[in-house]
Amino acid sequence: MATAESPEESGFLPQFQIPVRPGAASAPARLDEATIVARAQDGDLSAFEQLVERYQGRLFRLAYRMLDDRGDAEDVVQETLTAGWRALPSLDCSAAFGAWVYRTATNRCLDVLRRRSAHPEASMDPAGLWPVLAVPSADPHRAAELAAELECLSRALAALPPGQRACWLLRELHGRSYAEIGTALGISTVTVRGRLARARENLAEAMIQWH
Amino acid sequence: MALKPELSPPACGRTLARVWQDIDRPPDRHTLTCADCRRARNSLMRLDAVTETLREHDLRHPAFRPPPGLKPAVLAVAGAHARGGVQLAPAGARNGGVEITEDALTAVVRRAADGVGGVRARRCRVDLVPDAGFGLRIHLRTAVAPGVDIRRTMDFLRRNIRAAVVASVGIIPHTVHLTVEDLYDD
Repeated sequence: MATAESPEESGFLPQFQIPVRPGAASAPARLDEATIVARAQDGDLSAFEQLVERYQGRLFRLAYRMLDDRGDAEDVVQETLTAGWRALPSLDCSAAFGAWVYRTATNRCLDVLRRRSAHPEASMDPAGLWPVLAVPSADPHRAAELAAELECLSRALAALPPGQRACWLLRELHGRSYAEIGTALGISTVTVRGRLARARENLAEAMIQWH
Repeated sequence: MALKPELSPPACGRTLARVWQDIDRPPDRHTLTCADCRRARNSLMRLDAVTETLREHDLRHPAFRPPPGLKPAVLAVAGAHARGGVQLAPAGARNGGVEITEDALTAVVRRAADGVGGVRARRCRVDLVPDAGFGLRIHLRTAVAPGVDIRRTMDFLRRNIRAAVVASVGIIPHTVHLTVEDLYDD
């Protein structure tokens, strides 16, 4: 880390202009994430807006797959990102923001599922929840087959225990590291690998049964 | 949907986790001769393929996009809790009774840094030096592009910041403390 300092004679000029409004520091569109986070840590709202744009879709996809409910997923993402704004100044490392929001969103999802299990009458029925995309394919038969496979996997995923589902989603759909998943869920990387293996077995088994 | 783990581990003793470990590689000699391992491998490969399709599906399908009101709602809460920074009364402002917020000054500093090629402003803090007549002291952490001449670039950046602060609030900073903490690579 290079540092440089230049103590110079302090002084002021006669003219005094009101500076730009607070938080208006420009934030070009294609900055690296560490720079955007650092600026948001200093209270730059436009930098935080870029973080919201960067993470809202990822977190929403995670929460929707975890919870099977768009309204609950929206609540989780909104709570996570607003908590992220408050947590930013205390983050030790600007590179830690992504891990922080993933951890927070995952745990909020698990909280929602725990509350639901305490009130089973309010639980969602996983059947028929997923809007399936018409998979683009030149072969209509193959397109229908792909769509059916997606539905099968979606249903099997929704039926996994929450801990397995969280591990599988974070790893397979969001590309998070074993260490990060372990930190998010408060478990060791060995346990993460074990849960992932069981999740894959359960999902592969469901695919076999579907065929 | 009750899931019963009927995808049995291969009878040869190899675990499904071991089969998964090799999923991206061509089948080894054992797999080619072990019917159980071939079956397990085929099942996991199918799962892998459908997983990839699911990933693409979720990225494209409108139902998996956050509702349009989500971002404004988050930003409204953030704006309501904007930190604003501390009020500073530097030497030049003390006589005239004018104060400046730290955030306003950091915005000026960042804009000045954005005008310097190969530099990205990161965290910025502004405080006063009590032992130097309450002059402004600016601390800016930066990332620079690989290959940048750090010394020359920092000298230029320091001049840019000083000029921008003078132009903006009419005060010559006492100290501009610059730190290069990272290299960025786009």
